[in-house]
Amino acid sequence: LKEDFSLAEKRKVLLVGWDSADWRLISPLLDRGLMPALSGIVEHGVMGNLASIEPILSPLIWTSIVTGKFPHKHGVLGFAEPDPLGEGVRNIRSSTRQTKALWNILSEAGLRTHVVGWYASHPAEAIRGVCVTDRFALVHSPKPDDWPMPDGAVAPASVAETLAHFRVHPTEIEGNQLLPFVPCAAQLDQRNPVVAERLTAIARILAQTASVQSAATWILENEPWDFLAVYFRALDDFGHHFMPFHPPRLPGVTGDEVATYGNVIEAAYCFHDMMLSRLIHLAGKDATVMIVSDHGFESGVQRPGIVANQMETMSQWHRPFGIIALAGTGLVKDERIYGSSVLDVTPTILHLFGLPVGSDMDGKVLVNAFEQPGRIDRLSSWDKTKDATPEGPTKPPSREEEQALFDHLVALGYMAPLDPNTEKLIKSATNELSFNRICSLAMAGSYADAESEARGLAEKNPEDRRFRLKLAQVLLFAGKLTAARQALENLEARLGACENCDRMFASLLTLEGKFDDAIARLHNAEQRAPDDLRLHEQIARVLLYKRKWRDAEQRFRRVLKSEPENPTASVGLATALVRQNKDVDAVEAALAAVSLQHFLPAGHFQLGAILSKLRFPERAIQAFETGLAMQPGNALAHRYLCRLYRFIGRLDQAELHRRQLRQIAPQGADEK
Amino acid sequence: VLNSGDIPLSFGDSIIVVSGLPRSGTSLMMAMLQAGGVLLLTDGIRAPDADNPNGYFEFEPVKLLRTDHTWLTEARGKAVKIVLPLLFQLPKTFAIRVLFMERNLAEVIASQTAMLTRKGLQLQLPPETLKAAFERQLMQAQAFLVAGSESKSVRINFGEVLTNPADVAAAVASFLQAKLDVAAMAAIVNPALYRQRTPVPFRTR
Repeated sequence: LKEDFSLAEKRKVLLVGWDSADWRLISPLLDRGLMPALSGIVEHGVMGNLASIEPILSPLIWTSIVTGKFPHKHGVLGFAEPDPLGEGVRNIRSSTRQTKALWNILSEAGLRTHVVGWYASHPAEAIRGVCVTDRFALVHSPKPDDWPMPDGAVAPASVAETLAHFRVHPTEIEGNQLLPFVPCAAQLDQRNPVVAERLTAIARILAQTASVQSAATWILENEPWDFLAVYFRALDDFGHHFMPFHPPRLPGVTGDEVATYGNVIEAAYCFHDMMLSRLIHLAGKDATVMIVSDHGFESGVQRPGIVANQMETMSQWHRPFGIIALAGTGLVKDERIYGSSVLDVTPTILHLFGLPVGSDMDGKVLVNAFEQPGRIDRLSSWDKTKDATPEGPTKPPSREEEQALFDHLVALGYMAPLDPNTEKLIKSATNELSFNRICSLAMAGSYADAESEARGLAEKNPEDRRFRLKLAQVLLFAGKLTAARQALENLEARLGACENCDRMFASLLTLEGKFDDAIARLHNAEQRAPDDLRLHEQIARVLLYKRKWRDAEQRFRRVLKSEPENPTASVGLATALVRQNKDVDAVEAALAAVSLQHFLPAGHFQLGAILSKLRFPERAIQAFETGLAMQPGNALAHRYLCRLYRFIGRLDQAELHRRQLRQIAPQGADEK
Repeated sequence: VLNSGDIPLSFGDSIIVVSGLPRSGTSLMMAMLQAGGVLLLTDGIRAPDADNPNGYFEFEPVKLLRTDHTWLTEARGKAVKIVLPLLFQLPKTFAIRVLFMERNLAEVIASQTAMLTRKGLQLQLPPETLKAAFERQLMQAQAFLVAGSESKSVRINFGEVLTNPADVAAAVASFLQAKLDVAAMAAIVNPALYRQRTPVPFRTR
């Protein structure tokens, strides 16, 4: 591999993870000059949205970021996992991962590789550099003098003692260090338990963040390096504590609360920019810097309530788009890139180092970020290569194996069977992992596996509405409408109707062409949740099928009034408008949709159709070709392109699309 | 011997833990300690059977160590059997002296299989998977014993107990820094109960 390192020989890559960082919050701060370090990256490199994957849960996504694979492939499927040989359940750990992470691959390629604080990285792995896990900074004791570093938090052991001194305990955070976040902190009544809890939360987050930053800067200053990945969870933590108080004021939040805590989020971003500035400085001007986040964070009027730190609703605050910013030698400058996903980070970094991308990876190299992307080398899988980490391969037991070993010891009489509470805990953890695996399989399009697992989960938990709804959803995705109907009818018969049930039934009825029944179901759901924007959008979409263009327009406008940056609603609006011959407004809506989210094939197709109607054939062709690149095999797009190319005299291209259309839809191919 | 009053058998706050994989000779070591004059923490609930004719020397609450370790204070100054993987559930706040039994893994698995067969059960895992799992547990045990600043440990080979019981008894007494009745400890070893033998020679530590 080293012989092929034409590009990589001098390349150093600094990968910075900011949990839940969101351009919606960052962009205004960049405009005001409050994030100069990130601004430098954006001006000298590329930036874009980073699409997240379902389910939007941090351990899954951060592991996808460093493996390039969907969660069902990398095996990290939740926050906790069963531990029958231990206390019943335990935090997810590095040994849960079933595939090599970026740091394993780069170590194997001979690069000096370090990782600090990454999610699900404990216990530390033996790599060709320093591995500092996510438990390193964790504050598990209120007493600073009784705060031992967890076993396995740092590898190699030779640097563990040195790094242990860099950990910061919340009690070391001075009161004045809270002032940038809460300027009036000194005037607050700190005997008030709510105030005390909020200020303590800031101190705890700052301490943990400082520990991670200290470890990362120590490595950059003292260790030879080619790659360093450092992860900060603070923006997500700050978000879950203080986003409800961020302006604009939400109903239920007092003006005083906004005045007191409304600055915390902005201050947190500025704080991260200061840390980034130091990291960039230490990395040196020749280093390639990549900043990514796993998802965004709701911050506008559409925030889902005024409590963000309850486990059940936490993921509702996560927006499906995170950030990516990337600058370095050989990369394009001051450009936006589109269509990036969290799965693309690892392939892109491998390509930056001149290393082959695993064909079993689900992500792609972000070629638009490169001035000259060059040839992308591939190998079947990095998991099949020799593990060349200093201490050899680590092959932890699978969960099934651990369970079997536990059963074996119980059968021998050496361990007690699980008590009902522990058994319940284990069952709950196992179910969650299974649920998340189904989501991942469905997102990857592996419907047969998703259905099989969803059936098993629903059968084992017949009283759980969420699992039964998931089965129905998977069946809908797979196009098995009869089975989906059966699943939904069984669910309603056993557990009764609900809003989600109505919505899913409406989706089914729409696919069956029973639009009036679908609308009736959605009106039912509307009575239960009158302000649910997703519901309004679904109603609007069914109205399009019913050709009720004006009603659909009104519904889409209602959604967009509350959520102006909703790209799918903009596409729907464009459709409703063009059908009413409001062509100029329709073009505007379609353009708004694709500029909000470039990777939106339906948006490009709609834009192409409108431009075609307006007799802009070249532009229409461009829109259709863009959409087809994102979603190959769309028959309607080929049909339009056949007609458009013929219109402008490009008969060869027209013939090409006619042939492709014939392959997809033989009955309708002969365009007249 | 226990009542003679001239043998210092107080281990203070330390707990003597006899550990190892199930069927690696932990019951035999417990029997030796008892013969040597060490107080045991057992409840006799698990009765002797064909697999362990001299008894298991177990204490039922040990099996629930992952959820309850309040009984550990009761174990101070006594010997208690805690097999793997329950050993890892021991809190680090207790001073422990671990007698860690080691036995050829093929023999361990053969002995466990024989035990399951007598219960009318079958091995649920392929032997090679079980072997790999036990190897991992032994590595974990080594790390656990090295990491515990309050713990001291000695590894005892089951084969050596059978071939040189007197030497092993003396080594145990030396490790525990106690005047144990080493002759009685050695006398209790009955090589006839060594039923799962492999042709592989034991490694002497």
